[in-house]
This record gives sequence, structure tokens and C-alpha cells, in this order.
Amino acid sequence: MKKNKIIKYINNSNVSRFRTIIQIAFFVLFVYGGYFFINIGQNLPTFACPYNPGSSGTCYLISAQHNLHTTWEQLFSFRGLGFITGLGSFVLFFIIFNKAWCGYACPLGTVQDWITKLRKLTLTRFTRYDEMSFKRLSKVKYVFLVLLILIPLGMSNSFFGLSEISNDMSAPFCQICPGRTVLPLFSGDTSQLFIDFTSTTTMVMSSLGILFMALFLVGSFFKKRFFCFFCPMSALQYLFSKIGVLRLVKDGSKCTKCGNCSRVCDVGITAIADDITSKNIVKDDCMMCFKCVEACPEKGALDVKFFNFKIFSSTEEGFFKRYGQDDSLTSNKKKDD
Amino acid sequence: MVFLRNIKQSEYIFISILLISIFLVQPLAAQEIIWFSNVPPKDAKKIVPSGMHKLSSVSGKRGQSSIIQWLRKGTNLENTSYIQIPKNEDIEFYLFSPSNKQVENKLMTKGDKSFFSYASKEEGYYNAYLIQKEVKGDTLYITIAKSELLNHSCRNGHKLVRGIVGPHLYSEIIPVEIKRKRIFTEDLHYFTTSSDNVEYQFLVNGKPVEGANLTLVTQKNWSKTLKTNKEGNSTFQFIQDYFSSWQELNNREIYNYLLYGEITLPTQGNYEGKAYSYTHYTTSLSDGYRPAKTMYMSMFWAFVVFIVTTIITVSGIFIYRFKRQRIYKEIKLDEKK
Amino acid sequence: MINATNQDRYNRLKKTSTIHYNMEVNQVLSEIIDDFPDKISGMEYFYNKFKPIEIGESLYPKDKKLIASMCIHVPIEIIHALDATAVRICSGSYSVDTAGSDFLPAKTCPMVKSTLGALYLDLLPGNAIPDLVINPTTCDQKKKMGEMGDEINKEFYVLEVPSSKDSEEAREYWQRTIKKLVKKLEKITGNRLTRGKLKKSIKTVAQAQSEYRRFMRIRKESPVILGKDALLIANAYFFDDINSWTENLAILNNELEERIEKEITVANSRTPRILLTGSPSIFPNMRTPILIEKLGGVVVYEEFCSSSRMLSDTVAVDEWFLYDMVPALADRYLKPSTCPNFTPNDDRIRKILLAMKDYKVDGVIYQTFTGCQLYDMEAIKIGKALETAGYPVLNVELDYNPKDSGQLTTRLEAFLESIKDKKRKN
Repeated sequence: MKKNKIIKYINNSNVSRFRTIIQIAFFVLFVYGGYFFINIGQNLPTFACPYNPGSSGTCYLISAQHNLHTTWEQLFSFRGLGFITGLGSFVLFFIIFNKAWCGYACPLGTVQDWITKLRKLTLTRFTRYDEMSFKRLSKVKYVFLVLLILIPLGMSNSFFGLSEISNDMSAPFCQICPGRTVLPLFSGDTSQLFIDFTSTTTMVMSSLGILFMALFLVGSFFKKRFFCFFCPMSALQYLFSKIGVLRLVKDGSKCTKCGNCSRVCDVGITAIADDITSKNIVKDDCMMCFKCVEACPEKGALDVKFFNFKIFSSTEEGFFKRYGQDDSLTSNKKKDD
Repeated sequence: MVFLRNIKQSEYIFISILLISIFLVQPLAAQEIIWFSNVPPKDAKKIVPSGMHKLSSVSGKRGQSSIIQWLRKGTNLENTSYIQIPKNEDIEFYLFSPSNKQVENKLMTKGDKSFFSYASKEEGYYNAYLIQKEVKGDTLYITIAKSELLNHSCRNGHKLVRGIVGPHLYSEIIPVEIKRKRIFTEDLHYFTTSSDNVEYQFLVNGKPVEGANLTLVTQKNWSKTLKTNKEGNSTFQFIQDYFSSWQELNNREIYNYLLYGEITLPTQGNYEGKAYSYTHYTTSLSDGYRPAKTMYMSMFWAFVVFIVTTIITVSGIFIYRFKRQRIYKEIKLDEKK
Repeated sequence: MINATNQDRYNRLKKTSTIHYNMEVNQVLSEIIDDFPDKISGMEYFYNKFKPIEIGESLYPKDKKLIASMCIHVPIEIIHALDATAVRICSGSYSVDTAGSDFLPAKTCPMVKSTLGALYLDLLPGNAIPDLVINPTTCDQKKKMGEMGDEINKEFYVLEVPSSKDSEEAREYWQRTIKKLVKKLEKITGNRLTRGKLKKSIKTVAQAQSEYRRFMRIRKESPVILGKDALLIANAYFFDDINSWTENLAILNNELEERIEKEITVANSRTPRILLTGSPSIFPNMRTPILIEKLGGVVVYEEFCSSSRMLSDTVAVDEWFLYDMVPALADRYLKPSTCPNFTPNDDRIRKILLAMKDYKVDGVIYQTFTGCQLYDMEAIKIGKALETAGYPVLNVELDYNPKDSGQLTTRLEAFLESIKDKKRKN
């Protein structure tokens, strides 16, 4: 049947190669699209940075920080509607591809994957976090998210009777975000690489920005997808991940706990292998790159679902095509299954 | 000297007044420059700075800012007077919104000072013109004060930038104009900065005029006069004629400038019953400009921070890896082929 | 220590043991091949692998070192990558069991005694003379067996296996153990482990596992081959050259697929489908599957470390460099392992329950060797889980002595009858 053939073809395909191509396409779109007058929106669930002159959209975090830079009265008045609509359009963009925005579309993620490829050329070993560090570091992104919500509010209102935060902290996360410093470099724009001596606040924030850029580059070299651990966009997305239309589900009874999935996971999530009870296996660090599904040799243990249709499943045949084939061995006489 | 010794006291006074008035005749024409200023007079209420033109705008209700522009006369920026337009004089006042619609507005007088104020609701350039016409002798004096201010809030997004930033000209209504040439990559965050080369065009009835005198005056009364070329253009480079102390210098500081142009053209005509054979066109434009970025931003120090962070992080990682081998006798496998 | 007077005893023991061993092998082979009417041509290759021993030269390549191993925790990919021969020496012979009793108490696991005896008398398949015997510290018996290295004049290497497989510390410990093993093997073989060779050997083993999975899919679909043959195929993997094993299994698979199309089966819809699990049946100790199938049942799945456990769970590697391949191998040989020496071992219950569903199993026969405490203790938990799921379980205890089959036969017969009755009623 034609349908079975298509399903078989997809299940046997090399998703990682497909993903590299999609990443390049989205990178060109988000980093250079503005030069072709493309404008996708102001509330994108990925790092399309407006500091980059060729950007074809704006990341939602900067919109959120600007929207939250109002007084309490205004926030709960009609102006708060602007915040709600911004959040609403972010959620609508997001739930279609769920966390796959991180794995397939985010330009910062793509840059990190390229740095990883560079590391492979130098034969340097990558870093893996142990369980304790993993759990602790995973909380940092929520801290960033809370700060980027509270600081803009604190600039227009006073918390606990303290004075309002200086306007120099405007868009606080944007000032430390590596997207602001790294992405414009791809358009040849180095204007974001400075330390602003205007006031102590600007000095500290711009120094932090440069510091984070250095940490981003070095960290991505040694740890795959280093920044994704600390990304507040990832934290914000995870809050809405349960209603996502694209899902990654696991059938625990079929799992042999071989650990292949967590071994190939770039981020290093061990819960994919060890959790045999949950159905929805997308954790807050997951970027839905589906390398785990590729690496699973048990049929039907991991499935990718889109609107409840299984569009990609783990199969024995697919696994052996991707990991078992070696052209130098004598070919076995096999009939088509 | 012998001649002077015989003159009486009263004659001294008379001669000095005569001499002074002779000197005053020269800049009399210049004294007729009227312009709209961002800077409020010292006795005006303390204005809350907000928005892009921090000296002139006032936070209004519901988050919309109002702009106040004060009417001043003269070319001495430090201490020209705030004047009041007498009611019986023949003046026309126009205010145009960014969508080229005329907005109902008029000059108001408080005490002995005139100003106008408008709520900036739309995104883009608001243009205001004050036209004064008078026939003296055989010359018609047309004196115009122009105000062109950009209104933008990042909350409203950054759509259709090209359409908004373009210059507006109203040649049928406004006889003489100064048009600032837009930079190709100009966006809604444009602000003149010290060391910029800005090109201005002098237009009479919509046509460029050669040989007009354009003068740029800065805050401490440095001035430069250039004649316009065949296309009616003159290019000025903004300089800082005033260096505040280190603590005061910051990116928030805005210096004021005044740009005025004048030319006398032979035209025949009749205005309110009086005939004239020359028209003297004068127009002015005033706004603020920022200190150059290099005054308070440093790329060198950013580079230093970057290098230091990278070196510390990378060496930290390698030292950790090396130490790990020693303590637990961690075995490192040789990657050589 | 073998001195002059002992030397005589040793030689006599060796001669008698060889004769008994060959008798045993011949008897079991004749039962397997002749007592069943069904003939599959692809099985010829595997039957020929199990020949009586002729004392003489080793049949393995002389230019390669021979590394003997036990259990399923030794990564054979590493051994292949270092250009050495890997032989698993877990023994199923009763004849050498008695020889092993010299070194171990009588109530020890018969497989351990047998292996020790075989090592002592050099009665290993193909006359293998190991340069190194890797002894993983899995069950108590194996641990203590490793101390007999000097007595039997063989070099033992202790491979430290953690007692738990879930904790992070256990994984770290195991990865270090494997890296240490790599260093030891490099010293023994004189070769260095390189990226390309390890990648190739990982993929070779993956090919073998892929073929075996195909074999199991065929058995799942239709009972075209008996369990005794399946067990023999898996036992051949212990010592056969992996490439020729894979090739011949592929040929067998092709034949079996033809059989499916032609609907030639060895069992019908009323035959009780049995899952066999517990202490491993190793050739020539094939009593249980042979008896079951003689009495009218068919073994569709054996959950033994000498069978399916050895060939399941393939390695996936993210970056094909040594710093990732070696830990990946270590993880594969630890994490999915359902050997009862690990605690907790809930994975084994889940695996058996999944197999019951997938292979449409009617009943479970759980065999324990006398003296094997681990499998004995797990039998209770697994028995309860299977009862709750509604499957019948039979616990049998046996050792290598072929003489006490009488009681075993009776019990198996009764069990199979009860299953047949139940099937008839439905």
C-alpha cells in the first residue's frame, strides 16, 4: 500500500540530516530575511533578534519586556490588553511546533550546533553534566524568566516601597542575551560589542552582555547546546508545552531502558530513558530534535505525534539503517521485510 | 583725541547709542530668526522627561506623551529670549500629523511666553510651522519656524519603517522649507549624533535654491555658515563644542542646535495692499543631538572583557579535566588513528 | 598446582572427561537432530558447530590472542576491535562438572563448576586455550570462581560489575571498569584500540543483532522453528566467528520466511506456547527445551542470558570517537541488563510481561539450577507478577546430572496438559 510505503520511508529516514537542512533554512530566514522585506511577527517563540539589522521578526521576550514596562494601573487597564494579545500570539505561534522551535528554528541553537561541529573536528571530548548539576542548573532559566518579568515592572512601579529601578535596565534580558551580541555578527554588524560607561548600571549590564557572549561561545564549544539550559524562552515555552500540537510520547512497556535515547540527546536528558510511566516525555530542557526517536531500536517505544497522527516512530528497521549499516561489511542476503 | 576732549557727557551717550545701533543693524536680520525650541524656560514647571525628546515632552494621561515646543527668537542659543507672539500680528500656524493630516492646534501664551503642545498619538514625524509675513520697504519678509519631531514607542512595533521615516513637505502651504536628507538605513530610532554628517536641502515653494545661506549654531554658539550648492544642499558635520565633566557625560545628555537658512530672491508681488519686489525667506529648524558614541562606549574594553572571560573559562575547563585524570587515575583514550 | 603425581591424575581425568563429554555431546545432538521429524536445511551449519572434541590443536586463528569471557557483561566489540578472538566459555557439560567439584563445594551452581572444570582440563569448544579469562563479579559463585586462577593455571582478570544499574555512581564505576579493561586487553594483545576498528566492530555486532531480531520477528509471526534449534543458534554465537554466524543466520532466516509463506510450521494452534526463563540452558544441557518440545509444546521465547539477552539492545553512539563509543558500549552492557545480579530488577518482569503479550505465550516454565540463589529468589516475584496477569508458571529445579529426568518429565507433562485443556476450552 502506498501509505505504508510512505510511513516506512519516513521511519527509515535520517532525521538529523533533514534537521540540519531545516536549521539552515530557518537561520537564513531569521537572520537575513529582513533584507528581503520579510516580516513574520513581533511575538516569535524563537530568537529572531531585532538588534540584527536583517532580522525578519522579533523575539517575544523583547516584546514582553517592553509590554511589562508599564505601571500597575496601565497594566490592568486597556494597555494590559496589549500584553495579553502579545502573549496570545506567542502561544499560537508556539503550540503548532511545540518545542521543535528550539531544535529546528532557533538561530542561536543553530549557531551552537555549528560550534559543536567545530569541536568534533578538533577531537575534543564533550562535557556531560552529572545528575545533581543537571537538576540544579536546569532551574537557572526560571530565575532568568522571573527576573525579566519583574525588572521591567519594577522600572515603572515600586516594589515594597523601594525606589523604581533605573531606566538603564530597560529590556534587561536583551542586555545580557548572547543573541544581541552574536547574531548581528552574521550581518557584519559589530555595533553591539561595547561597554557603556554612562552609569554604573549600564557599565555592569553591558559588561555582563560581553561576558555572556564569551561564556556562550566557550560553553557551546564544550557542552552541546550549552545556552539552551539557561534560556528563559525555553522556560516560558515549557509552561505551554502541554497544549502543544506536536508531541513526543513514550510507551513505557516497550522500553528496555537501554539508554540509547539519553546518550544521543544533545541536552543530556536522562528522563527519556529512565521514566517508564509518563506518556508525554517532553521535559523543560527538551528541544524536540527527535534524535532520541532515531536512536531507539524498539518498535513503537517513542512516537512523534502531530494532532494525534504518528508522523515518526522508532522502528527496528529505521534504527539499523541509521546506526547499524556499515558499507565495508559484506552485504547480507536480505529479503525486503 | 583732541576732537573727543571737547564733547560733552550727553554727547558721549548719544554717540555710543548711535554706534551701538550701527552694530545692531548688522545682526538685525539675524535677530529676526524665530524658532521652536525643546528647552523649557527656567521658570517653567519641572517637566517629567520621557520619550525620545526628553527635554520637551511631558507624560500625559494614559501613557501618551505630549510635546511642548517653545517659541524663541534670536541666534544666541544660550540666552535668546522666549518671546510671545502679539495677538494682532499676521501669523499662520500649522501642525501636521505623520499621516499628512492637519491637526487642529494653535499657539498658546502663558505670561510672556508662547508655546504649542500636542499629544503624539501616531508613529512618525510631526511637522509644525509658524509663518510670519510682513512687508518692509520693498521686501516681503516671510519668516518660518519649523518643528519636526519623531514620535515612536517600541510598544507599537516596527512596521513599515520606510514609509514613516521619509520627509514630509507641504509646498503648497509652506513657502520655504529645510529638508533633512534621510540615511538609507534610517529607522524609527534615528537621533542625530555628534560627528554625523547631515545633509540639508533648502527649498522655496518646493524647489531647491542655490546660494542660500544655511547656518548651524550649537549650544555654546559655535556656528558655521554654508551656501547651498546647485541642488540646494549643504552638508554639516555636527560637532561637540562643549565637553561636560566626566560625571555629567552620558548617553542621556542631549545638546541643542539651531539650523536656519535665509535667502533673498527677486519676486514681484503684492501683499495686503503693499507692493514688493524682493522676498526674503527665512526658516529655522531646531532639535537635539547626542554626544558621539565613542564618548561613552568602548569596544576596546569589551574586547578585553571577552578575552579575559574566554581565557579563564577555557583554562578552567582544561585544568579541571587534567586534574580529573590525576586524582582518580581517569583513563584518557588516545584518539590518534 | 599440578606436580608430578598430580600430573598423572590430571591426564587420566582429562581422558575420561573427554570421553564422557563426547558421549554427552553425541547423545544430545542425536536427540536434537534425529528425534524430531522436522528438518530445516539452514540448521545444518549450526549443528556442525557442535562437534565432539578431539584433543589437539586449537581451531582458532593462531595469530590472534584468545580472550575468554563469561556472562553477558563483557563488551565483545572491544575484543574484536583489538584483533582478538572472543569466546564465551560458560559451559553446559556435566562431564566436566565433576572435575570442577575439586575446587568448589558440591552445592555450587553447576554451570560455574562446569566452566571451571572445562578450564582446568582445557576442554573448551574448539580446543580453545585462553590467554586471558575475564571474570565478571556478577553472582557469588562467579566471584569466588575467579580466585581459582592459580589452581587451574589460568590468568583471570576480575571485571568489577556494580550491584546496581540505576544509580549514576554505578554507571560511572562501570565506565571506569570498562576503560581499565580496555587498557588490560591492549596490553595482552599488544594492539591499540582505534576509532575505526571499534566503529567497525560495533557495526558488525549490530548486524548480528539485526539478523537475530529478524529471526525473533519470524518466530513471533509463526512457529516455524522449534525452541531447541533457536537455543542452539544462540549458543553457537558463543564461539563462532561473528561474520559467518551472521551470514548463515541470514540464510536460515530466508528459508524460514519461505516456510511462513508455504505455511510449514512445527506447531499448530493447539500447541502450548511456552516461555522458558531462569538459569541458562547451555549446550549440551538442553534437557528442558527438548523435553518440552517432545511432550508437545513449543518454546517461542527463551529469556536466557545464553540466548535472547545476549543479542538484544543495540548500541547507539552520538559521536564516533573513543570518548563516546566506549561509554556507549559500557552503558549498553549495563543499563538494559536483566540479569538478577542487579538490584532492583523490575526490568526483567516488564520484559517477560511484554514478551508474553507479543509472542502470545500460554505459560512460563522457570528453571533454576541447584545452588543458583539469584534466579531462585527472583522466581517468587516473577511468579506473583505472572499470576496477577493470569499466566500459569511452573518452577523446576534441576542440575546438570542427566539421570534425574524422570520427575522433570512428569511435571512438564502435567503442566502442558493443563495448558492444552485450557486452550481447548477457549
